[in-house]
Amino acid sequence: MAGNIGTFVGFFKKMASAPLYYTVNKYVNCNEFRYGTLVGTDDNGNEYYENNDYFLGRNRWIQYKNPNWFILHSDASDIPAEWHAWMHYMTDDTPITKPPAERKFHMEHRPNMSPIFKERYTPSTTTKPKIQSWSPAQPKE
Amino acid sequence: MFRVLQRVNLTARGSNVSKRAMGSYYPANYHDSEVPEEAKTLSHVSEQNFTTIFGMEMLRGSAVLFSYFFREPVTISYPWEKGPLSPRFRGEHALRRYPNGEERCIACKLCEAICPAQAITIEAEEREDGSRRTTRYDIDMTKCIFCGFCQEACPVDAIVEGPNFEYATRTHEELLYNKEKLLNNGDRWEKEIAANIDADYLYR
Repeated sequence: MAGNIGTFVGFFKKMASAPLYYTVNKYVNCNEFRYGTLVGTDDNGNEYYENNDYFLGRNRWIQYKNPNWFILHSDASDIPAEWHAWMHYMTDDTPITKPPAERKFHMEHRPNMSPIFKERYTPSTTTKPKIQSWSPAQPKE
Repeated sequence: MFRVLQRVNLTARGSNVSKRAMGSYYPANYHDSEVPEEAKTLSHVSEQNFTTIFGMEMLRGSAVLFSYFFREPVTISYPWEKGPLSPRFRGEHALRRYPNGEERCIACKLCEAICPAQAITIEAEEREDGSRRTTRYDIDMTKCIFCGFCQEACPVDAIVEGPNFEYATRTHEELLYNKEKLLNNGDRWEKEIAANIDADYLYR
C-alpha cells in the first residue's frame, strides 16, 4: 500500500484540494493512491500520467476512460499505436511532443474485439476458387 | 547459581546437552564425537535465556516484515502500468504500405520459404496494372513461433512483427489471419512500426 514516503506525502498534498473525489477517483481508476502530471489524453479519453519518483516500470500509467462509476473499463488493448510506444518505454517522445507523420491510409485504433461476437474477426479466403464443382442434379442436354 | 542457570538453559534446549559437562555419567574411556562447547560465562548464559524466554528471533523476523510495509512495492499493476518493451519486439504480424498507400508486398515468397514453422501461405497473380501482387497471404498464428525470420527475409519491409501483443482470442479460427487482416493491422499500427524501424536505422 504505502509506496516510498515522498510519493505518499505528495499524494496527500495533492489530495488537499478535492479530498473525497480525488481519493476515490484515483483508487478506483488506477488501483492505487498516487499522483502524477497529466502528459496527455488520447482520442478515446484515456489519460496518461507520469511521475518519475517511482521506479522505471511504474512511473508511467494510464487512467482508462470509464463509461460510468459502476462499470470499470480497463482493457490494455485500448491503448492506441501512437501512445503505445511511450507507454512501453520504447521512446520518451509522446505524440504531443513529436506527432507521427500523417498518412491517408492510417486507420482508427480498435481494441481487441474477440469478446464481442459480432465484431470479431472471422477468416475468409481472398482468392477465387480453383475448381468448378460439378452438380449431378442437373440433367444432360 | 551458575550451575543452576546452566542446567536450566541446557534442559530447556533439549538434546543439546553437553556430555562433557555431565562427565560423571559416562565411563572414563567414553569418546565424545561432538565438538565440545566453549565454556560459558554468566552473561552468555543469561543472554541465551533472555533470547529463549522473550522469543527475540520472532521479534527480529517481525521487524523485517514490518520494514517492508514502508518500502516501495516492486509489482507492476498491469492494465494501468506496463513493462518496458524493445523497439525490436516481435509481436503481432502486419503488412505495411508505402507512404502513398501502395502495399509493399511483391509476393517474392522469401518469408514463406524461410518460415521454420511453415505458417505462411502465399499465392500470387498478376494485377490488372501488370504488377506482381499476392492474392492470398495467410499466416496461421497458432503455428507461428515468432522467430522474426520473415521480417528479416523481407526485401521491401512489407511483413513486420509489430509491437502489439494483446490480441488473445476466444476461438482458434480468429488466429488464422488472411491478407485483409494483416493489412488492417499494418494500417492501425503503422505510426508505431515506422517509428520503431526509424529508431533501428543504424543496425539495418
